[in-house]
Amino acid sequence: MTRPPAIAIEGLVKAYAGQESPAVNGMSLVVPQGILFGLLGANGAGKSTTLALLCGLTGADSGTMEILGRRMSPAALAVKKLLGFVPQDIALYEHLTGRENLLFFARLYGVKRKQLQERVDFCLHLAGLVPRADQLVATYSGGMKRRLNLAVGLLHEPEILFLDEPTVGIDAQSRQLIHTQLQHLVGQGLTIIYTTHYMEEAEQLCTLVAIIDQGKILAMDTPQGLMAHHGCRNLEECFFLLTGKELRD
Amino acid sequence: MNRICTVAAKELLLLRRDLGGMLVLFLMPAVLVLIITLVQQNVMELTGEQRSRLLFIDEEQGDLGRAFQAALAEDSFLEILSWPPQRRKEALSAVQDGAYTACLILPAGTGKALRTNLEESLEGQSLAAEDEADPLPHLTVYFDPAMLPAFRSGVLGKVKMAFGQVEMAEKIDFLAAHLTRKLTALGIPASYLSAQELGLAGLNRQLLAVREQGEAISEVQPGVVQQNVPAWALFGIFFTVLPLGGALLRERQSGVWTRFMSMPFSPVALLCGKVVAYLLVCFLQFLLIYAIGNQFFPLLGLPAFSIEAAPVQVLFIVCAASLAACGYGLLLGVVCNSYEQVSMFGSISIVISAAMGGIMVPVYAMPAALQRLSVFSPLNWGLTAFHDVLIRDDSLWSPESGIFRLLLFFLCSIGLAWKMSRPRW
Repeated sequence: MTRPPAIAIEGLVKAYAGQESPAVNGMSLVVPQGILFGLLGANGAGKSTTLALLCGLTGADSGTMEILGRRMSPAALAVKKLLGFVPQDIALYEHLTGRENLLFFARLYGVKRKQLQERVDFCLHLAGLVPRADQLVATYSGGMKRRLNLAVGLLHEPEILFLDEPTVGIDAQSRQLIHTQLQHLVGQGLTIIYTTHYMEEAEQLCTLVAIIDQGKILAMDTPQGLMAHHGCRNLEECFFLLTGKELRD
Repeated sequence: MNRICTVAAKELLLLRRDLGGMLVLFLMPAVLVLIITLVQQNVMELTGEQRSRLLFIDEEQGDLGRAFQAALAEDSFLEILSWPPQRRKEALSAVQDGAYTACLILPAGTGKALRTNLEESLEGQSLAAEDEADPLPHLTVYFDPAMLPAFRSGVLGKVKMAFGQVEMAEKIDFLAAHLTRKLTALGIPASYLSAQELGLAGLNRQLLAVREQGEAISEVQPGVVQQNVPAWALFGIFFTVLPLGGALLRERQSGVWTRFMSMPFSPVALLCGKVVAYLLVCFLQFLLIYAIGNQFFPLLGLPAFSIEAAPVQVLFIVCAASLAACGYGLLLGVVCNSYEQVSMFGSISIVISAAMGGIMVPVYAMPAALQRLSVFSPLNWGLTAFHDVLIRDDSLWSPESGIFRLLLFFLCSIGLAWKMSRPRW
């Protein structure tokens, strides 16, 4: 029996009131399970809206979305159990400790009492925050907050993890730790959907990448496949070749 | 249910670590209820709604002074303290300083002068009063200079009435003695000539009365304490909108709400958890204000605040007011886009609603236009509900009762908050 794809979307459209063109404009995409998939695009290309649709934060105007073979919508609570979402913002309580934040979100995810402590300890270890676990998040550095933000998304052992630019504005050490942990998690069978501006990072980490612009997928392949197909030396060259160099403010 | 408890526990933990929020929620209403009640108590004393303390110096040391003091003591609004004549200077100084409302001095020889005047009146002679150089025997009254004119004239009226009673009694006694002398001279036996036989004894009785309508029916009288304790407890309860609205706004701005929306449960559980936490906070606030009113006020010489008349109804009112405040707080947290908006709009709207609703000044003391507007204030609904059960003995469950308005306000505001927040979340 074949495994359903992690994500299958067909003709997805989402428009916001007052905007000339849809943020997501007829997007179709299939992402297999167990890979690290990079969604690359300039500001306003439609990356965050695509993630918002896939995570059930908002509803689509038209088109279909399936997560692990199940229909996704904002009301699909059973499907939401299968996914973890790490927003671009540091979505944590500054006046709770790292451990208290993890306990709070784990309880909300419905992690069973017996596993609660184990999962919290695992996530603290994964984020490299065990020594600072009982200090307020307000006292953490930017990198520590980013790592904790990522750890929250893994508390309930999701099958798909959505990351919206998880390495923005952090030091090289924290970025390196996040990269290592993500590769480790993919090795264990987790599917990761990842948006980033950093082409070098995507080239190094992602199994498959899709370059999107104006709500449409312009190209999708492995990083090496894209470079070979377009005769580019790196992914950044491919990106500029496909999207142009005009500013996207 | 687990998620509601989890959210409530988190809210309480965050609140416990927010010293500024705790001060706004607990210290502010406690200080306000103390200060405002003491100030209003003092105003009531100034306007004569509380017992006035009068010093009385009887330089005559005779029956007239004793009778006058007894007549004054019959007035329940006056407290008479008798000081010896040697302390006259000290007494005037105490009144000047505001320690007592007034000092009454009955000069020596007043009784004798009164009897002389009576004799001269009965014999048809002109009284000494007609001679400006030798005025009528008189009682001298020194008032605290800070007394309001209306209150001063009220106290003076009571003193004049007591003095008039004494004068009338003296006149009757004197007239009886005078008639006895005259009739004895005509040969009527003295045993028939008592005041009773002459029919004069009953003349000193009060024969006409003034009756005031609109007395309170309940045993609990509306005083400053019964007005202020529920009023400022409600004010404190409604101030929970600031930390509650602020907390929701911070969650929206930090991305926590976005994270919540991706999680496998309805956001209704989050709203309920917040309401549960702040409901508990509101009950703690009310308990604090109640403890101040019930235990601390008597130590300051104020009456104790009591809810013995309707303890269960009072809990329902606190619950309804707390829900209304929570609904409003959630609505602010959804509508506002910055913490400054929440704090400015929240605090100003509550202060206006409190002023309009009779929290700061009782509704009956407001201009007619504002009295009509007061029915739109949720704080007025709560205060009216308190007055209904504690003072008027009215039912809490009548359709026009404040408690239903508060619950309706809660349902409308939380419904609106939910509807308005969905697209943002």
